[in-house]
Amino acid sequence: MTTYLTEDDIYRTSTQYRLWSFTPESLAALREQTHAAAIERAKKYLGHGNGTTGHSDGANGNCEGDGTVADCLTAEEELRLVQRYADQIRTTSDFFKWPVNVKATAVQYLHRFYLSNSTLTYPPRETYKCALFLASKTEGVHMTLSEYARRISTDAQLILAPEYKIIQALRFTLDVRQPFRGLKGALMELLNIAAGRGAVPQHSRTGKTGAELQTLMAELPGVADGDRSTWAAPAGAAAADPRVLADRAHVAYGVARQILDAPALLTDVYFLFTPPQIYFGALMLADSVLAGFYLSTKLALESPVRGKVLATIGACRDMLGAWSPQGVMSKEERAGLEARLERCRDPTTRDLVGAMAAEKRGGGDEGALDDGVAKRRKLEREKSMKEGEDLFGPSLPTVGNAA
Amino acid sequence: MTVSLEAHGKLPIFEAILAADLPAHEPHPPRSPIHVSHLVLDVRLPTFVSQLTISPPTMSRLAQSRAAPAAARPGDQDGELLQHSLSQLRFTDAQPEPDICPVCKSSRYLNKSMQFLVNPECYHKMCESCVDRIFSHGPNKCPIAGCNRTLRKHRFRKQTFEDIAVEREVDIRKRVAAIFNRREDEFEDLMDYNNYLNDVEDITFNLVNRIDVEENEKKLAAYAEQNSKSISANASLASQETQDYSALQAAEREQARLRRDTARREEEEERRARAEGRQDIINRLASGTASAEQIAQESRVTLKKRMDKKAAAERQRQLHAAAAAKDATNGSSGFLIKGLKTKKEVGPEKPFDAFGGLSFAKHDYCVLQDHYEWDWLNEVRGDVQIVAGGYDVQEFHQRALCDAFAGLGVFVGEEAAARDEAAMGPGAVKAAATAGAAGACTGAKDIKMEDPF
Amino acid sequence: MAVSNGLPSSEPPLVNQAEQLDQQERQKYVKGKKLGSGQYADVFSAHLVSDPSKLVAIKKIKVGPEVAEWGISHDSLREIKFLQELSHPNIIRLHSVFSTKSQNLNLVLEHLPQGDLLKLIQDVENIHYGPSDIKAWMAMLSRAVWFCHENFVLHRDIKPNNLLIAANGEIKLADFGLARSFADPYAHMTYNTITKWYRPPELYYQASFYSGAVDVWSVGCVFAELVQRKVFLPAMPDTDINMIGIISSTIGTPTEDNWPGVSKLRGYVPVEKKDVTPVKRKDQWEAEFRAVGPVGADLLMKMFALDPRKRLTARQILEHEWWTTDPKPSRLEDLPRKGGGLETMGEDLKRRGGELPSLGRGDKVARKLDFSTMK
Repeated sequence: MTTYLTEDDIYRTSTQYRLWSFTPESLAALREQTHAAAIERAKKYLGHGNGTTGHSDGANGNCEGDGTVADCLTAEEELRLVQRYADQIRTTSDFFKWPVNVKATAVQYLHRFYLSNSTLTYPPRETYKCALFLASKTEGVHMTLSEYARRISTDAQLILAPEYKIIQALRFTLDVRQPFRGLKGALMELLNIAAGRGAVPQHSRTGKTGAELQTLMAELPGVADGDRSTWAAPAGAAAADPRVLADRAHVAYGVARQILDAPALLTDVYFLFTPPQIYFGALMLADSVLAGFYLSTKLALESPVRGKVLATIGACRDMLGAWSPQGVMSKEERAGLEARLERCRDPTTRDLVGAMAAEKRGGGDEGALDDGVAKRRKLEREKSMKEGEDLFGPSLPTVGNAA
Repeated sequence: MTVSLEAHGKLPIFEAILAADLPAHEPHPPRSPIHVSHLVLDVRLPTFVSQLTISPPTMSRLAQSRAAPAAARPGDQDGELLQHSLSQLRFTDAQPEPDICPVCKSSRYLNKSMQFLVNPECYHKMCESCVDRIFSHGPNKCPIAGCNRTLRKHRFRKQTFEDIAVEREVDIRKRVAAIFNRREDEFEDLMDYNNYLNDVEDITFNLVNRIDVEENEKKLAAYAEQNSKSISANASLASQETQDYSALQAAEREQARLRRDTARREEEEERRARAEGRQDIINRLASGTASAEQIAQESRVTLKKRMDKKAAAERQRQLHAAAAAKDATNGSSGFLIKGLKTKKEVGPEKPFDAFGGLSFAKHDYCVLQDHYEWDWLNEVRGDVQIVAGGYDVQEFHQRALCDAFAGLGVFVGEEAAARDEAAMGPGAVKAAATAGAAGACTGAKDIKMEDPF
Repeated sequence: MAVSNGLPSSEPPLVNQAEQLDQQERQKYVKGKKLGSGQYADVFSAHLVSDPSKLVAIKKIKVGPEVAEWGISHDSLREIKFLQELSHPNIIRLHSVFSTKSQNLNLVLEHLPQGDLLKLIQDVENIHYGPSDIKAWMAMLSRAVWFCHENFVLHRDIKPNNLLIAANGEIKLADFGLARSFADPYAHMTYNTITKWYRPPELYYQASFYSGAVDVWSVGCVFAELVQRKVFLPAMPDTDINMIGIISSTIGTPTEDNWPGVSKLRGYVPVEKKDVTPVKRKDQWEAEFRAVGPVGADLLMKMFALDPRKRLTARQILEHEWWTTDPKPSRLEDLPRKGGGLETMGEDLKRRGGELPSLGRGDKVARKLDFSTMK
């Protein structure tokens, strides 16, 4: 009895599917929850706008009670701030000329982190560099911390400080499935169809041969209005010229690739759709006619899931299309938000570096702790046993100072 | 009259009495011994009684009616009676062959080679000549007074045990075991097997001690009828096993012998070769065709070669021996199990599937081709540095196409919703995971204890 | 998390959901004794709080000096990343990951008490195995490697001490610290990977672009080691030059004839014509590996093709006919176990003086006297 795993099954084994896939409602609810918890907490360390400072030991008076609850960022603002820094990651990754998978992974790490943490607790300015560095490690780029720190003129320890927090917030799942390779796959197939060498699986009911597919492709109307592709059939060339068809595919690919780079990363599509749906959405946005044709070679008209697939892809396309570069926060707005954030952020997480060091010093290794205590106890036991034979009885137990 | 030794807490006196008078019939206790029984059965030898696992037999049903008032009686009476009953037992050693045949009264003195035979019908003993005389012409009645059983000549055999009761018991056990011959591995649980053995032992006990003989014989017959197939199968298995065992022993002896022979032969060879070599060297030195150094060199080389060959041969032999031993014993823990395990196979054994029952072959959406009209991709093939290292563009094709469709049919919205509904908090994590995996086969996957937020 | 030193925090730190789940995970397990300790991690035995019979192994990754350089090390990240995604009976199972208060990473792996394959191979005195056992082990290893490759993961550290044995005898591929995803075209990979004796020639020639064939070479080395019970290509000292030398002498010198393009590789070591060892022929392989028969020797030979393009892929290994020729692979329960020595000693010591060794369940089953053989 053989178990056949289809491509869909393979996707279902990934942690992205298992842990990081949501409905729009549950995603919103989660963010809501995180935000609410942060606000609750903020109320504790902030004043209520009338001077009372709640519980404050006032050691560093300037961060306590300066802000008010009203100063706290709204959920909307938080989201936009995170988005702003996601964009920042993109820029930085491009600066390092790292491959696109590092970029995508880093942005996803940031988004995932802020699903369960609020910017009030961890302002993104302090975490985005670490997210990018972490992504570089998991995606196989080998740049040392010192090199990285130097290139972006930041203190290495500052970069490293939230690493542990981030990986914890990621639930220790580090793989991010991405649509880029899939898009390349689509391009490869389209190119073969353009050259007359297309092939469809046996059980597919589109049942077309290579030549037929090529003809179909040639007969496609031009790029629809509203689509982003800039391709236009060159005048005078034969419609069925393979090079023309290939060209169309390449142009569509280029546009889609751009779409995957910016809007895809900056919106929530990774949480709501699977990578093939994402790139199909992008392809739809680029050249809907071509994408529709390509999809039709995969799913026959009678296929049961066809409707759902089309609808899903459509939804994704809309989401991608709705995004515009103007949506990204401007520098001024960011500065303004961050000033407010500075006043109302959680003070306990202000000094992550110091906290980490304290943790390592004070907490110590659990196992080591046990060993130390155990050893001491054992010595005490032995000592008391020896002294038990002593004429004057065992010595009085010393008060052990627990670490 | 032989006295049967106590068996399973049965009070010997009563048994002996009944055995003497009514050897084979259902012991309906006659009126007179009731009194005796009443007294005797009062003696509840506590240790034996506590080990009784079976329901009390018919005779002590009688005792039971008396037991209640009787139990009230104090213990000193028990002690006396116990002494009494024990003294009745003759814990003597096995009796030597009696010298006088009970039928013809001839003594061993007169006939040195007198043999006694018994018949399993009634276990009465008589000398060979009597058997010949009385039963050669056909079945006849047992000559012992009071025994009315019809006996046949061919059923007479030599008594194996000195105590006739043991002989009888063994015969009964043989008979029962021939019918109730289920094996341990036919039972799911050790407890079940032990229960089965217990039931069988109950029947045997009843038969041996002549309790409900008819009923038990009926049970035997019924079981034999119903399970005739399995009985014969098990019987053949048992005989097969004993055969295999002796075959295996013979094989081992053979092996040992062969090994000895080969070792001897090799020694011979080596001795001869060495002697020859030495002779050869002497000849060569004498005739002056080779110098001393050359000879020394050669001998070193041949010696090394021989050592290597021996080492290699030794290793191979070890591997072979291990393999042979493994195959002979089926790699299992013991030789006796050989036949049994294969019986459990359902139909013919399936051919070995190297892939372990997993396949990625089902492609819903695409057909993997080995060439795509994309220059960027194809240039890889031309780059020697890349391809000489073994980089395979085809692997990339496969991956790109797999990525292109892995999850196209997965509707995150629906499945996540189903998961969220099922997951009411972190408790129902398993349900969440399985809901998410609905429709997917779980061959390689093992959804674990993680839950979405 | 933040323990304050001087910072006002009379409120406990905000414990977010992830942290909660993390803590919950940590509390699920009761740590037991230390099973092993290395420079990179400590391994403890542990069991579920809810069910002490469910054993796991907890690998606590040590925070070493490389933290300053890298933060959390590459190896740990790689292990976590790939083990989280791969789920197969012949690959070690990562149940979960949690962290301790001092920010150490703890990996909860499945409990594999029977040690690794290297111990079985090296214990020539006590452990004996034959071609059926070799076949069973190789099948499991090949399946694990095939599954990795189907998921586009290169393991890059296959060797007998990374093949752990489960309680039921199954082989589990472990240690994904050197693993990585297959590379896209033109993407460089490091050639300094895989333990020396198991490394294929293309890596010695510093190829930056390679494929699953590197893992297949390691699998072949394990196969040969199983048969011969010694390392197949042991160059000592294990310098690159020595390794290339031993590969050449044992299998054949890579030349343009048997490996087109090899001379263009950066690390290629040209060899004089007279020093070229010809590639080992089929009959030589058969002679050296008689134990697995000519079909097995054929499979082995193809795993050691010098040109990585000609080497078998993991799938092709599983499609070879050796698996379906006689002898059949041993069943799991029949595979040799780590035994003799300390373990039996422990068993022996468990008994009290005067006790007979229990014959399995003999004492619990009523002794059946067999009267049927009496005449």
